[in-house]
Formats: sequence, structure tokens, C-alpha cells
Amino acid sequence: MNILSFLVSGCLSIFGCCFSSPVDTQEDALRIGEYAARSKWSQINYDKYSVYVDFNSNTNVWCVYYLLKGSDGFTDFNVLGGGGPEVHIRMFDGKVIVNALQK
Amino acid sequence: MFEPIQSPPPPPSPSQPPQNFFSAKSTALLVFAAFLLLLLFCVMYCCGYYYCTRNTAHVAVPAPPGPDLQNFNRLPEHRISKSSIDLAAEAFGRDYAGRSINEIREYAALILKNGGEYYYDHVIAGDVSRAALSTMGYRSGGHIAVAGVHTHGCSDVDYIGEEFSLADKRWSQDNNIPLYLITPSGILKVVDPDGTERAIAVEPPLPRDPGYDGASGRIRKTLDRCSGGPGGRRPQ
Repeated sequence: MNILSFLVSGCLSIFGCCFSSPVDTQEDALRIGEYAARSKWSQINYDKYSVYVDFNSNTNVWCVYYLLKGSDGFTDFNVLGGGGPEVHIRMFDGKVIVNALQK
Repeated sequence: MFEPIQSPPPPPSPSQPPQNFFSAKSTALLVFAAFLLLLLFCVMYCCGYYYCTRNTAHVAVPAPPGPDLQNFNRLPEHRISKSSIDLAAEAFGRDYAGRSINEIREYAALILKNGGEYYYDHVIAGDVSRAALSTMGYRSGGHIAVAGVHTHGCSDVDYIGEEFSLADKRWSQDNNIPLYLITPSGILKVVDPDGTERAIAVEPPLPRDPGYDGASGRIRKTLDRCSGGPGGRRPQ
């Protein structure tokens, strides 16, 4: 672990504590999730994907995920994975805890 | 005519504080408060650093040490019936997990039921991040699809490799059958349509990606071929 990661993680945690707020609505979760996904995975062609939002009441986590569209323009539910981003957002403070691509 | 009357300055009273007393006290308090704030900042910083370094998003279950991948690149055994769905999924893992890691692509298949026997068939070779698996044609009749099974290729820190993606869970929900997964670390697990997951113990272990560190349960090294390096592929 180098000094840069120390500085970045420390600053992020401090500012995260100062400015965190609960995510109560699906619209807020979608906004945060889309921003996080498009910021980190800018190389992806998002026109090929449909975006969905789910809430897991067991873990209190919002899940924003992208499913691949078929040739007809609608979501192809036969696809496993698909390469679209999957973002998990903690409800009580809005922290993005997972931001990775789906397999 | 009249000279202004100048009264002499009053003698300093010993009980009266000097004029700069309050400003000095305020300064001292200010310095002390700044020190406390700095201390609090440092504590929060260290706590945050500790939290960030100890809580990673993808912590996988450590896998037992597995054999080399080269020993698993054998031809698949087609239509060897098994007595349970789990065993059929394990057979698929033995035949395709090593190949999936080496070829950096997903493999998927349906587990079909014929009488009391189970076997995998309808094998699909996908790409680095996807495989399309349809149950169409296997929903009724003599050979019914009772589950799906797929691999996740090699370890890559950018991908959700050790867990079911939400697209995987959605597939299980929509088709109303369980979906099995062989992870890059060689773990066999299954998710049911209601979202419950369980891991299945297999012996001997399934092949696993050498880039996966079984001791720590983390991806030790993302191979260039997996991460878009030389020969690597990324979804566009």
C-alpha cells in the first residue's frame, strides 16, 4: 500500500463521512448508480444496455445494474452476465460499495 | 486665558487585568481548539484508512489448493448421466472450467433431466463476459431443463467473478430454475429462483485460475490477457 492510496482513502473516508446522506428513493439510487457506472466504465457503449434498479431489503442495499439488449432493442433475459456495470449503493449513507462489471 | 485642565492618568489598579489579557486567553483557546480539531482529523483519517483497507468489496471464500490447469484440458464427456443435478453441474465444471479459464470465455449449458438421470447438454461458448442460454425447447417433453450451469472464465479485478451477477440471478428468476456457477477460484455454487445461494463441496477440487490467491481469497494478479492487455478482450 503506497502513500498515494493512504492519502486518497483517508480523504475519501473523511469527505464521505461529512457529506453522506441516506438514499431513500429509487430515483436517487439510479442517479448515483448511473453516475458511478459511467464515471468508472466510460468505455462501455451504454446504448446497448437497459438499466434496472432493485432494492435488497435484507442488506439495505440498492442495486443498479445494466442488462444487455437483444437485436430487437429489448432486454435479452437469456444472457448470463453481459459485461454491463453493477453498482451496489448502501442505503443509509449512499456509499458505493460495489462498482464492477458483470460476468 | 484659561488653560485646559489636564487630569493626571489614574494609577494602575493591581486588581485590574492588563488590556491584552482577553486576547491572549482567546488565542490560547483558539490554538487548543485547533489542536483538538487536528487530532480529531488524524483519528478520523486513520479510522477511514483502516476501514478502506480492511473492507474490500470483493472478498471471496478461500479456495483449497487445486491442481494445475493443464491436467483439466481434456475432452468433455458428453451425456454421462448423473444421479443428481449437483453432480451433473460438477461434471460440467470438470470438463469446462479449465478450458474457460485458459480461453478467457464463459461456457454455459443446460442440465437436463431424462427419467431419474441428469446430464448437461446444449453447451454454449460465450465470450469474456457473457453467454446466452435459452431453455426454449427444453421446457417439456422427455428432456426437461432443470437447471443452468456456467463458468466465469479467469480472475479479473474489474469483473464480479466470484459471485453471481444480477444478470445471472435474473436468469434464474425468469426461467424459474436454479443456476450453477463455477467461479475462477474453482468454487461450485448455485442460486435458486428465490435468490438463495449455497456452495457445493466438490472433491477433488475443480480447476482454478492461477491468478487467484487461495490463501487470502483475493485476486493476486490480473493476467494481461484477462484485463485487455495483449490478447485481452473488453466489452465495447
